[in-house]
Amino acid sequence: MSDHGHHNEGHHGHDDHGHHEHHETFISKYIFSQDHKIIAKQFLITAIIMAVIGMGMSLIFRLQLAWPGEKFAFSNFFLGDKWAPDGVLDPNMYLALVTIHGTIIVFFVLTGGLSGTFSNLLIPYQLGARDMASGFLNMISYWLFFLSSCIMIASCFVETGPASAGWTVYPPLSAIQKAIPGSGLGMTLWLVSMAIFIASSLLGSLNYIVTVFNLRTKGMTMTRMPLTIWCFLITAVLGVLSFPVLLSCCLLLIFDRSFGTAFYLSDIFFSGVPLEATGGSPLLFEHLFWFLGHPEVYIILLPALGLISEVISTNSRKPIFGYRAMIVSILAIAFLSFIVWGHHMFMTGMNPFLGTVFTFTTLLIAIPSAIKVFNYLATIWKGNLRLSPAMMFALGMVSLFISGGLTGLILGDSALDINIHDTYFVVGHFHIVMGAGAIFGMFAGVYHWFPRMYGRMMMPKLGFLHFWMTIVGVYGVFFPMHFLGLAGVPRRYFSNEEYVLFQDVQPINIIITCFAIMAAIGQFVFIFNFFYSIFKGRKSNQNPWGSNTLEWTAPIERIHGNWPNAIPEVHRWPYDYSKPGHDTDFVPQSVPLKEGESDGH
Amino acid sequence: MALLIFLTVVLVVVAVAKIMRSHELSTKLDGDQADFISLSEIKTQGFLYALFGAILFILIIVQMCVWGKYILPSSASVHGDEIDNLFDVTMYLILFTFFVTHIVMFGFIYKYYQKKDQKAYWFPHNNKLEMAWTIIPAIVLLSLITYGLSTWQSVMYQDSTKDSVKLELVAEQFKWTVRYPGKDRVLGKVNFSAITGTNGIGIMTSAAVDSSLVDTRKQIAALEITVKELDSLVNIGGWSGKADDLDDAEDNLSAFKANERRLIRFQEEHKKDAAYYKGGEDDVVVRDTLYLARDRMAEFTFRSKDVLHSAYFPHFRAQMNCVPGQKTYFTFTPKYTTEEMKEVAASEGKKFVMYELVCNKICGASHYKMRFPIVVLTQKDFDARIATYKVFGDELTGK
Repeated sequence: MSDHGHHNEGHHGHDDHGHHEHHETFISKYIFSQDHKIIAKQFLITAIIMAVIGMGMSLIFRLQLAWPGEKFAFSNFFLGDKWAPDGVLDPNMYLALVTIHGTIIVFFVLTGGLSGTFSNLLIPYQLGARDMASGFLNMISYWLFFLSSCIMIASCFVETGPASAGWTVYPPLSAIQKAIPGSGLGMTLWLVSMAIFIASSLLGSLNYIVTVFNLRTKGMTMTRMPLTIWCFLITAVLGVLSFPVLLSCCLLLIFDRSFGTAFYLSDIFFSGVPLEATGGSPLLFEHLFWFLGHPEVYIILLPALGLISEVISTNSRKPIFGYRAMIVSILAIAFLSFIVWGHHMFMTGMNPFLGTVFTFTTLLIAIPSAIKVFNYLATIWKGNLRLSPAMMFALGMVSLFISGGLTGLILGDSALDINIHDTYFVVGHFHIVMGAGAIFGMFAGVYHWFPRMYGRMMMPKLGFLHFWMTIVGVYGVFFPMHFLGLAGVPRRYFSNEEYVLFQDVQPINIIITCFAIMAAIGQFVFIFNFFYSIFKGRKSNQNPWGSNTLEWTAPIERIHGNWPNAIPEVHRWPYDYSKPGHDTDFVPQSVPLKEGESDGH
Repeated sequence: MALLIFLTVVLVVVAVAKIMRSHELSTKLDGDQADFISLSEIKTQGFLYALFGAILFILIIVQMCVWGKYILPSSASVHGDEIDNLFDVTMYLILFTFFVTHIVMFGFIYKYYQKKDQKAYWFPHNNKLEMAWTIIPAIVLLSLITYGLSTWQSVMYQDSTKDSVKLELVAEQFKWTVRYPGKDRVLGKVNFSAITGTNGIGIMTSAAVDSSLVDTRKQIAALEITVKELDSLVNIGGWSGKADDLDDAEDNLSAFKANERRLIRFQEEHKKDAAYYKGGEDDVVVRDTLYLARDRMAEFTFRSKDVLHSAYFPHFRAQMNCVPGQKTYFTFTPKYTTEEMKEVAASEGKKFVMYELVCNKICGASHYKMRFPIVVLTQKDFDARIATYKVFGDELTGK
């Protein structure tokens, strides 16, 4: 280590970590670990468990939506006689399931799970750092995430049921405890869980930002960072700027619920009583909520886009096209994401002039998004595409990003939003672009970096099977939803049978549910593949995909400090794939430039 | 049963996995040892991707044909056509972009999947290309924004016409109430403090305020007794089983006392101000159907008594949330009566039975039942229909 120690002046103090391996006990190594690799796995496995729960909930309400009033032993088995007597779902529980499904998938899987796993795994590895800037805060971040997950799950078991005002928990429905059973203790636990989750997210994000700015290895300039790191960095910045607003939003709701304040309540006559609260406004809540809520969409999407940038480039054996344009697009998306929240509120009674402003900013986001898509297409053009499972999912995400992004042009246009606001068109749109899109990015990441995490490969054939079941399922479930929405079917409806207008559309719901069941079965293929491969998978070599980034220069065995000797020095950008003048079709970042070779890209 | 299905699924997955695993082990020696995925597998996947693309396109076209009739119910308002034109333009643009980008993507995947001697082409960036696909989307989007905003402007800022009818729609868990202005064509003042059993949406007439004050004082008297009884049970008798009831009763008592203060203040402010109360006397409250007149602009005011609701009129291309504590507005002009609409829809190949108002903001367990029928009549029929209802002043006094 001593020879190369001088390379790391200014960002070390970590160089000697490799020596401490033998001091670790089981608890410090696997449970209260401060090692970024273990924490990444903890996030991933927690997120997988949460995802299974969230998906299971969606199956129960999909059954009801396809065959309203039918008896399902499946529903009764999971919900019991109180919430699904004879297997017929209770309307209150339906709303609760919709709410908790949304909360779990948005926050616990796609925010905590996605960023938590891959920011933790890749930021130190790809930057050439021994670990995160603060391993201790990183550990706290995970355990707060775990605690908030437990509270969210626990809230499903209280007598009056979990929160059921929709994942956006708009007051007064969420504030008046008697307005819906779920607004009792269940809502309190939801808010407590979210407050803890926000603390976890903030600790994680601060850590990521500090690490990226301070712990880059020698030669790793900002414009030599892989796009994954750029995305994680910008995501963390978005999180730090927007999550505190959600925290204050939730705190004020807690005050309104428990301490008789009136931030969100006014002029309410509920069950025979004119409530004392006056002067508040539900619109205040909506503004605060969506001030987080919209950046949140990009907190979910950007890490996934970062992962697929790396996966697509590596597996195309081609540099990512327009590296700098990609960075500028990410920055533009991040900036715009803070000034578009009002497009969730066109129909709330907000001044129509604000609708004008938010339509303008919202549609502008399509420009950097289009640039990203075209750059991905240019990257695979004339490539040598290794269609690994990771690559399949990455390309699938590009497809979903296009499909879901395009319908955003309709929703973001205030005049068109009038007729499809809060309908199934919205549900189809955001599940494709943000739900499935980000999940695909996450799967691409898991298949690609599994050998880095566990030193073994996942089985590619099962990966392909999983991919096909998932993409067919996603398009089968969410594409028809656009037709439901255009027919006017509102989201969060327990059944459509009350309306003359919706009487013919039921076959669409049945088709959707069938695809949903198939897609859910497909996920068990993944789960089997994942856990089986951890123990029995084929042994990986150090750099199975022929990648350029630094994580593949570290030994397969997990050691604290990542590299046994000096940390590698960086001499080039991460996308020298198939570069003319080299014998191999990849040139790792740690390989010095040849004489006369230019680093220009 | 559920358990059985679950076990079956698990077993099937395990079996498939085992077969694949043994297949993988047996074919392991065929391919290049350094690669974890063989070229023949990649070829299969490249082919499957292209096939998937073709099937996806076909199924999308099939869906368009079969379910195309659900794409927006027939438009029945004057501004609806403007929105529908914007929708059509946007939709064609979207479909065009979707098909072009996907054909390019599936094409590239099929053409460039990994082959033995294929080399990737070093192509890290190209300024001209990047400029092109920044500027073209920018131009397209700016035109779309301009078009969209001009539509939004003309829909949301409609000048009221001479014969427009101002009406109010009040939402509560889980029903709707409509209020028409009566002969004076002015909607009377409202306030939630005046809500009573007979005055469900809180219209402020002099008599209504008085009766609400009487009502509120009765409630206060009753609650004071309840609080005293519960207090003696809980705080003196130590029976904590009623603690929640006591809390509720105390909250309600203080709420009604606040209501009493509001009403008294209100009475004092408008004591010599008879004109203030006048508007409400001849208002007409209708609880079963929303009646509208054809070709007559309907200027809606929306209110909510309890939680958020949303008044969604799919046929009229109109929607607005109902917000407690705030009035919200939307204006549209119905173009066809209910009877006429049946023919119009049929001529467009769409089904139409009746107009309906949909609650489109989650509002509680029976949200999905919060439906309200809408009937559009000719002006003459509309007037005749509204005349069959009592005016509010009479309704309150039971005349």
